[in-house]
Amino acid sequence: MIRTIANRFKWNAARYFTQTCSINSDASLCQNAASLKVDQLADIKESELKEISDPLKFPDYFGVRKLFRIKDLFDARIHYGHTNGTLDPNMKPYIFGSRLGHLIFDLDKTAEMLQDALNFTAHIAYRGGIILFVSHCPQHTLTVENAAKQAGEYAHAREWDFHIFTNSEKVYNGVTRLPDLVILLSTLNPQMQEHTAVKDAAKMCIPTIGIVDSNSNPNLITYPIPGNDDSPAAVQLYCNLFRDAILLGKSKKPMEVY
Amino acid sequence: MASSRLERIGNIYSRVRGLLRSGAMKPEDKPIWYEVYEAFPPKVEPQYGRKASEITIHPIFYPEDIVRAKFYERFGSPGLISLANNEYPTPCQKFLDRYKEMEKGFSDENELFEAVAKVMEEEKSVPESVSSNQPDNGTSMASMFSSAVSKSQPQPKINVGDLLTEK
Repeated sequence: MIRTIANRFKWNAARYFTQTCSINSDASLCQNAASLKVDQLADIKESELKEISDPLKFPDYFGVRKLFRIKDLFDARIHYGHTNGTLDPNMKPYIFGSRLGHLIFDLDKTAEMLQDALNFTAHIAYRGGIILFVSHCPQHTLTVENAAKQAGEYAHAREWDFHIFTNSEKVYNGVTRLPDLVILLSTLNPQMQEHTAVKDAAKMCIPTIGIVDSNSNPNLITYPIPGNDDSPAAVQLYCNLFRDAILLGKSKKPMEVY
Repeated sequence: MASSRLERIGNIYSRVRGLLRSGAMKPEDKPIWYEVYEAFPPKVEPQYGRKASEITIHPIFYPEDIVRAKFYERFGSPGLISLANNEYPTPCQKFLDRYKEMEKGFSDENELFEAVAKVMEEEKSVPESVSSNQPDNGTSMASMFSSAVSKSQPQPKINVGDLLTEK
């Protein structure tokens, strides 16, 4: 089985990619085993094959680093935090400074943490994990749900029922499978308190990725991303990035060899 | 299958690792994210009770802020500024560009400021200066009120009797 390698891909097209297409992210780094010819495959032992094609061995197997630049973060106003008075002390390491009382995030740190989070997302999608987008901000409900639809994953952008994770079998009246990753577009609910999903995911041993604004607490979140969670432009950018990372992960899923 | 719901103790990785080591969770039941987390751990380990670091947040100021302050004091605000539009420079930005160009010719800041202000006023790139003798140029409440008072004309006095007597 020979897969075609798309050397240059456009993101609009990637949304409609099925599993038959494969994307070559960094030719020098990734020797995708499936790109070798059929006769060569037969020579290599199965264990060696797994060695070459194990995505965990590569620092950026899916090429998530190319999904954004710091200028894109700046244009989407991700560096805007709230004011000095509402600063959560745990967010201090991620603040660049305060411009006349308004906190500004250090986009270098944000970019690094965003890359880690996107890489993690892509790997989970590659392994067939269920990803849940969570947000309680009514303004961004449509953005979040659309992103989840396009990624082929799930979203909960409405009011959170307390027992969804912790007592799921009772709530849904049957055997349930909880998500393998929760992506929080905002870690606060409209009452400015920590979203229940943060604590519940930590309880149920589900890793979380969360956009933490300057008034949020990042301690319980596995891969926090310090940044603005209130501007529609910022939320749109995050949704696009996570959707793209998931699609990247899914597109590289190993196909069954018949 | 065993699980641990103690979110305040350790983090999800340490709890699952503990369960696997002790045998409470079988290797087949290992969560999907476990190996990914081991390969790419977060830069800062999540921990519920981590104490916040003692970092002071520094205010962000630029050397140009002094010139900006002087500019707004002299010329006032042009009104609405669109922050999203990067095409057209605001009067203050134009002033700053000119200030930087002319910086080398002067040693005294005040002299340089006056010189730039003169040049820009001649070019009419800046609004007229806000000074106390011209209240109608200011945008503050006090100046608007005083300009309204000075502009208001005396009300014509209507004699109702005259209106009614004449036919």
